[in-house]
Amino acid sequence: MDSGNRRRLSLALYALCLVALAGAVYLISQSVKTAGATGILRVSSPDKKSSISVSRNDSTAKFIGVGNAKVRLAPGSYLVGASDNGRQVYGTVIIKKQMAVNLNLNPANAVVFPTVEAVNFSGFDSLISNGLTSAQVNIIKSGFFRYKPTEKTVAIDTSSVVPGPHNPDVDIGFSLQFNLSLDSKTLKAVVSYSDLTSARLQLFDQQGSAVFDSSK
Amino acid sequence: MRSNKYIYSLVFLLLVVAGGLVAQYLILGGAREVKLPPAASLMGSVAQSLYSGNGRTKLLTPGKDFNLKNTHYFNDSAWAVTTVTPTKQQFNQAVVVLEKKDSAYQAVLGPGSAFSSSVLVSLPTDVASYLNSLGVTYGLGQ
Repeated sequence: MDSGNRRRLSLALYALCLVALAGAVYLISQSVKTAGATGILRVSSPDKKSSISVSRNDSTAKFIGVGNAKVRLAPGSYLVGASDNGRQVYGTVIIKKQMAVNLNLNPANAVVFPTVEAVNFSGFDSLISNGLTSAQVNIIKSGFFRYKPTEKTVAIDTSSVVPGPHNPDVDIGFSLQFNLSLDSKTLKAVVSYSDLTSARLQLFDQQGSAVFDSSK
Repeated sequence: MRSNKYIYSLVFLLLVVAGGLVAQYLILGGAREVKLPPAASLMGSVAQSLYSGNGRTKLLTPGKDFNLKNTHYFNDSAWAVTTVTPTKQQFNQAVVVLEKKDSAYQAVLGPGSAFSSSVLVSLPTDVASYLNSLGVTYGLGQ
């Protein structure tokens, strides 16, 4: 290599070093600026396959990690979500400058909106055996759901189902009485009806006090 | 001597680049910055509700993948009901019910095209009436 080429190579290397130095200084100054203007969000989940995302009211949402995530965000309120197997759980966080926020989200703890279809009803066939129609039984099930939407099980003590008092000269309607357990609670129920498509459910606690009336 | 000079320069170059990256990592605490592009209200929350996880690492993009229509707010904007329409045929049109919790809206029901009417018991009356009027409820009734 002649001296001219060597000189050019040296200059190129010096220039490259200066550019790298300037780049490093810029990177560091930008990092300092970002660190001062943002806060840290740490999200963890016992479900290591859960997909974690973040959004805010007037912005799009972004995927930020699987199982756990650590990101910097501008100050503000954010909605953080963790999803796995179709289950989603959310948490809200407020990010402040130079502060760290930790959040633990487990999709297994996702709150499923309660529905009457999700309740485990047992012993309700005995009501049909005692004269109620399927439509009336569905009305009764809805009544139990209205009484306690978060209920998991309603079990009728089928041996306790008895017709209520009925005087054909005076009463136009009929009734059934029975005991049941609603989750861990024991209640007494009275179902009144006068046709095939409607029914009234009344619930009483063990002391006999009325706790629910579907007609109200 | 000259070749040593080149080696020193290259080592210096590498040190500067590596030093810059290490300094950045240390200053930012090992957390990358995430910027969320602006979008119309509820778009982000709905995008999250449309996300099932299962290994996908990209959420649907508002405007590009889906739009919102017929957005109604209830109870001083504490609740919102909106209809998600796909821009292509990625999914069916769906209704989402969102509740404002700690100043952020989050999906509490849906996205879905039909809901058990028993869920209406757990919703404010106005929201329940609106869902009934949309004809998206079925089942045993309230």
